[in-house]
Amino acid sequence: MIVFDHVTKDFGHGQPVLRDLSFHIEPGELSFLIGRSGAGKTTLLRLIYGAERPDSGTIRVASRDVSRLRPGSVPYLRRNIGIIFQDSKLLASRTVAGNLLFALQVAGIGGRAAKNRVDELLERVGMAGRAADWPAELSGGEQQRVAIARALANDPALILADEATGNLDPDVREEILTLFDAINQAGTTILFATHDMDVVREMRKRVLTLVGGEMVSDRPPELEAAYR
Amino acid sequence: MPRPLYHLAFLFADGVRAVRTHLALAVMTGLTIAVTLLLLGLFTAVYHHLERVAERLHGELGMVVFLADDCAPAQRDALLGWLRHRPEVAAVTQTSKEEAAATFTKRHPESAALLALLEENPLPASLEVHLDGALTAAATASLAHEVEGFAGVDAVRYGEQWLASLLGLSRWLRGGGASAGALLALATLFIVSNQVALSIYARREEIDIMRLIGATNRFIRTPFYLEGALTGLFGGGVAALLLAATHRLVGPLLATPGGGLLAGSLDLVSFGIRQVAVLAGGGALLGMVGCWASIGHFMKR
Ligand SMILES: Nc1ncnc2c1ncn2[C@@H]1O[C@H](COP(=O)(O)OP(=O)(O)OP(=O)(O)O)[C@@H](O)[C@H]1O
Ligand SMILES: [Mg+2]
Repeated sequence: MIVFDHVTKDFGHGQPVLRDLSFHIEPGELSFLIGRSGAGKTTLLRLIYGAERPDSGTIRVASRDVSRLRPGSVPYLRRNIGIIFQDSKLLASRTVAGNLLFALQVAGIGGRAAKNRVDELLERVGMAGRAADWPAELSGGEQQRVAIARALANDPALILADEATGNLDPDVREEILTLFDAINQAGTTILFATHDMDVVREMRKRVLTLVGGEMVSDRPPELEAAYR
Repeated sequence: MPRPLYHLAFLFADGVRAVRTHLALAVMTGLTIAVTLLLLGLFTAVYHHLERVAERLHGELGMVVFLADDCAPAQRDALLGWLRHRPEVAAVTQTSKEEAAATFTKRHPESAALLALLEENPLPASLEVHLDGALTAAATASLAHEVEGFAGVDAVRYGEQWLASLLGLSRWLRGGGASAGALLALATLFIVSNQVALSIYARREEIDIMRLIGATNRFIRTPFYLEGALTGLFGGGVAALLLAATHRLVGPLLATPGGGLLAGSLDLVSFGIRQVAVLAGGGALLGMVGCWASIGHFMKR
C-alpha cells in the first residue's frame, strides 16, 4: 500500500528531516509510526498525501508514484486517503452532518445519496442520531469520531492518523483506538503516528520507529508483544 | 437533481454564504462598483449627446455667404448655380443689401436712425445656405473653403468657432472620461480584491480542510469568483437603476421648449435592456477580475 524507496527530505537547516528512508506497508496493515517530537513523523505523513515532495527517492501509494505527482492530481490522491489530526479540524460553522456533507460534496457526491451516506458513516463511528449537533456541543472523543467518519467518507483504502488520540483521556483514547481497529478489520490500511507509547502498548501492532530521520527499528506485532 | 447541477447549486450557496458573512463590506464594494459604472455611464451619455448636438446644430445653423459690394450679378448667379447643384446643400435664399437693412431696422428699431444717418448702406448682401443635416463639421468647413474661392465673395460664416469649441469639449470629455474611468476601474479592482482577500482569510480554515479532503483548486476558488461576480452584479444593477433615474429626470428637463437649440435634440443614449446588460455584465466582470487578482495573491498552493 505504501512504499518508501530511499526517500530523503531536507528543509535545508542542518540535518535532513528524513534520510534515505526505505520501508513498505502492506495493504490491510495497521501500523504505528513513533518517534519523539521533531523526529519527522508529520513530515513523513505529509509526503504520503502529497503535501510535501521528497528531495530524492520515490514514494508509492497504491502503486502510484506520489513523489512526482503534478499539483492537479493531488486532490484525487487525497480522496483515496483519509487524514485525521490531533484536533479534529471540524468546521465550527457546520453541523455534524454538514461537515460530512461538505466532504462528500468535495468529492462530487450530493443529494439523497450523500444524506444516506452520512447516516451510514455516523452509525459506523457510533454517532448515530447526532447529525444535527454542532461540533462545539461534542466532547473531544465525539469530535474525533466525527473526524474519523469524515475521513471514511470516500471509502479510502488508506487512513493516516497524526496524533489522533493526543487530546484524549486514557479511556476515551482506548475507545477511539478500538474504533480504528474495527476500521482496520474491515480492510482499511492505517498508519498511525504518535509519540505516545501507551497507544503502542495497547494495540500490539507493527511499530516503525524514527530517530534522527532514520528508521531505527521496524518491529512486527509478535515482537512487540514480547517487548512488553 | 443531476450531479453537475447539484454541484453548481452547492457552490452558489457557498458564494452567497460567503457574501453574507460580511454583507456590509460586500454592499460597500458593490456601491463602489456602482459609482464607477455610473460615472462611466454618465461620461458616455454626455459625450454621445454633445456629439449629436454638434452634428445637428451645424446643420441647422447652415452657412452664410457675405457678398462683396462690387459683386456683379453674374458672379452671384454663378455661385448660386454652383451651390444649388451641390448635393449637401438643401436650399439657398438670397438677401440683398436693402433686405438686410430692412431686417436690421426691424430687429433693432432703436438703432434704425443710426443706419439712416449713413450715406451708404453698410450691410452686405448675402446668401443663406441651408445644409443637409447629416453633413459633418469637416465637410462643412471644406465647402466653406471652396465658396470663399469664388469671385465676389467677401466672407463665409458657418459657426466654425462655436462648433470647434463644442467638438473640443466633447473630445476632452472623451479623453477625461476614459482616463477617469480607467483610474476608477483600477481603484474598484483594488477594493474588490481586498474584499475577496478578506473572504479568503475568513475561510482559510475551511480552505485548509477542503485541501485535505481532496477539493480541486477549481472547487475551492469557484465560490470566491461567485462572490466577486455577485458583488459586481449588485453594483452594476445599482448603477443601471441610478442611470435610468437620471435619464428620466434630466431627459425631459432639457427637452422642454425653453431648451432652445437643445430642444428636441436631446436624446441621452437611449436607455434599455442593452445598457442594463452592459452595466450588470461590466460589474460582474470587474468583480471577477478583482477576485482573480486576490486569488493569485492569497491562494498559492
Ligand atoms: N515546512 C517546513 N519547513 C521547514 N521545516 C520543517 C517544515 N516542516 C517540518 N519541519 C521541520 O522538520 C522537523 C520534523 O518535523 P515534524 O513535524 O515532521 O516532526 P514530528 O515528528 O511530527 O513532531 P511532533 O511529534 O512534535 O509532531 C522539525 O525539525 C521541523 O522543524
Ligand atoms: Mg507531528
